[in-house]
Amino acid sequence: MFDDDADLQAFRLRYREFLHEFAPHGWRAHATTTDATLDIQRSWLRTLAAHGWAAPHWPAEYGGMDATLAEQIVMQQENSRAGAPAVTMFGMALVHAAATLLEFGSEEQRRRHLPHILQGDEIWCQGFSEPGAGSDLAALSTRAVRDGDRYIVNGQKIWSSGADRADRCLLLCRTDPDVPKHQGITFLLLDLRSPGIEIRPIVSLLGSGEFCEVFMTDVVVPVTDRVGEENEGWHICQTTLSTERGPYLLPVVNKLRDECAAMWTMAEAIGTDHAAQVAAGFHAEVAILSELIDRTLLQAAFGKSGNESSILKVYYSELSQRLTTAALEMAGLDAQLAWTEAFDLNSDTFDGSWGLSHYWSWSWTIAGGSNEIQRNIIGERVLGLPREPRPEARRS
Amino acid sequence: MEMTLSPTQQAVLDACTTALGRAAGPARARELRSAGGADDRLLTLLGEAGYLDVALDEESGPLTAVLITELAARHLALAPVGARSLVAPAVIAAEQLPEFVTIMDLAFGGPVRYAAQSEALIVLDGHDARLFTAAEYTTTAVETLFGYPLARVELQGGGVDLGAGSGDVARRWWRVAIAAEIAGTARAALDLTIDHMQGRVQFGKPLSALQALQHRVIETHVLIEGAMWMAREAAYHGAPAESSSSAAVAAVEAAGRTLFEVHQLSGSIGFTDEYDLTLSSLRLQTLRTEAGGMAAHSRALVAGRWGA
Ligand SMILES: Cc1cc2nc3c(=O)[nH]c(=O)nc-3n(C[C@H](O)[C@H](O)[C@H](O)COP(=O)(O)OP(=O)(O)OC[C@H]3O[C@@H](n4cnc5c(N)ncnc54)[C@H](O)[C@@H]3O)c2cc1C
Repeated sequence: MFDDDADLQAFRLRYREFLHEFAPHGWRAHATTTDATLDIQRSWLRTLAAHGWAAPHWPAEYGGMDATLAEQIVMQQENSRAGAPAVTMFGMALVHAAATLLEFGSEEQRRRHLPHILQGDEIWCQGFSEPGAGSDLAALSTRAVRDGDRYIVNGQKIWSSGADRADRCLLLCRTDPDVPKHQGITFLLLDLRSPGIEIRPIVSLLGSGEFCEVFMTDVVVPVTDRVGEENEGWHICQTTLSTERGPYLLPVVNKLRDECAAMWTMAEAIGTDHAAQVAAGFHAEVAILSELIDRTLLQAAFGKSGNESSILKVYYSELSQRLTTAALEMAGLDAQLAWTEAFDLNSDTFDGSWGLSHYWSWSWTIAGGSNEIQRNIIGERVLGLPREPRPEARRS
Repeated sequence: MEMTLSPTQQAVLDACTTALGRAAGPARARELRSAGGADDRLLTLLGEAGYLDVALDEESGPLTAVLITELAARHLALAPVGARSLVAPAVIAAEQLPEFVTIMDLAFGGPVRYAAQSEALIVLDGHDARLFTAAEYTTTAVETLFGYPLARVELQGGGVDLGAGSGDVARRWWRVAIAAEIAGTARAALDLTIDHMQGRVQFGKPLSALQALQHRVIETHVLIEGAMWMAREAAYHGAPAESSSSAAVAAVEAAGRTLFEVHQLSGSIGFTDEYDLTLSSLRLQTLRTEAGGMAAHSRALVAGRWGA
């Protein structure tokens, strides 16, 4: 069970050969700005697409490979072995948007959007959170009012990653304010070039514009851009969110492995038993994480149920915080490196700055459903503990 | 140990609180952050009012100095109040005290807090220390996400010898100063977080009403409070080896826990530049790593307690 079988081995070699021939070299030196990184990623995505490797997890009929999870894991391993660029800026499109459309979109929507996504023509973002609706996402109040064959949308989204560069947005809106809050939400695909949209980047503590506010005033969304039925949005967005805690985590393990290696280099230089123990401890924990991810993803019908993915998310994100904290302690004030545009926060390799890696790890315990909310999910759905009291059954 | 403040000590603190309320605070910290400097103006103001020399005053003493250091940190003062009011008076003669002074230890590499802004540098070299004036060293500023101006230092002159054992003395007071600065800074971060949790409603009630979160806030509070009292006690007793390093160990522990909790409990808003949390929280990164961080404080504690 721990070895590639013959088929998987053949698959691995095929992909390795492809990477050997086509993966760009020396691209890191050119990835000095967000725009340059975007160009590199787009061009690599197109190369992958041209050879059929862009979306292994999609069904073949939409340009994917129907790849098994084992095959996806193999591809991740080979990507990091070859140092190929990660197509992080297209992650929301390739993973979140695609998973949502494949499960709940109409055939027309899949045919319209998936080919563009595959070609890297479009960047997608996620417009779920609002100023008043963070952990309590279902309390969202952006209104979409039906007007014939269109919706008129008014409201505000916040923390929308990459919205300032995005073409489209996965949008949750309230369509029925008079029913319990989970039941009045609708999932729309918003064209960000529509009139009435204003996007304001929010400067993060790293000094970068990682996420944005999106203001919508009388924005028109055709009913044909609704995913699923009206008021079914809550159910649909669970798929979008659980992809975030699933195979998306594979590159993350690569980064943690890289960080462990870098930590070991420091520990060696420090030369104490204590430093060696700390480094070894993290190495073991990353191995546990890797094992958890492989087994959980391979064995569970992940994506359908968020429960296993919640466990992974809590484990990974807190491990990353503890690991980078320990590394900062070892590195001392030399861990300094301020934000540079060249630093790709989503990258699957360690960029050499413990300071940045550490700050970035802070966001992982919050983004994609905070760890407290994941713990509530694990308590209720995995351990069968009583639900948290929900004082607000209906929207006020 | 008599920890009740005398009327004079209390009056000094009240007046200092008023002064810091006017001259420091989040708006000023933000202004200095974008300008990239330190608060000379504040240091001068505190100096002229005599707050930086209280350690030498018989009645106020180092206990008042540690309280002022903590207060200044709590008000987000961006100036080396601890170095000037606690460390410098312990190793430099009163009449020679520079106004703006900072500390580096040759045992640890890495950038030095306030080095580019200081007029003098206390350099710890094993058991001894030397005082360098600004003409005797050059600095290169480091771009930082750790909340304070930091610079690498290259020593050129020879400095003035501060006497046998001055390095050990300065190091002990430095630990007390760091502990007090952590206590004040962490307190500022936790206070802001508690305010946020009182007003932030999710699931129909304020976050502060959730017991699971309350317990975390309370545990953090206890750690900060512990560090604060350890720093005060160490100062009161003249920074003995054991209690000064205990204070630093407790404070670094508190800093780590505080950093995690305040950011986690604030949610995404804590990750933004426009919210005030980072004005305090990021400084904890410097404070918990400075002077060799946990490893060095722990070794000092073991040496102070068991002579190991
Ligand atoms: C880097 C980053 C990228 C992001 N990208 C996107 C994006 O692209 N699109 C998008 O829509 N959103 C995005 N988010 C937003 C993210 O989903 C929210 O921040 C998250 O859901 C938490 O909401 P909040 O920040 O309002 O925190 P709050 O809901 O205010 O929570 C604050 C704290 O209280 C805790 N808490 C709240 N309720 C409970 C409870 N019932 N029990 C126990 N603890 C509780 C939380 O866990 C948290 O620790 C992003 C966030 C980050 C940090």
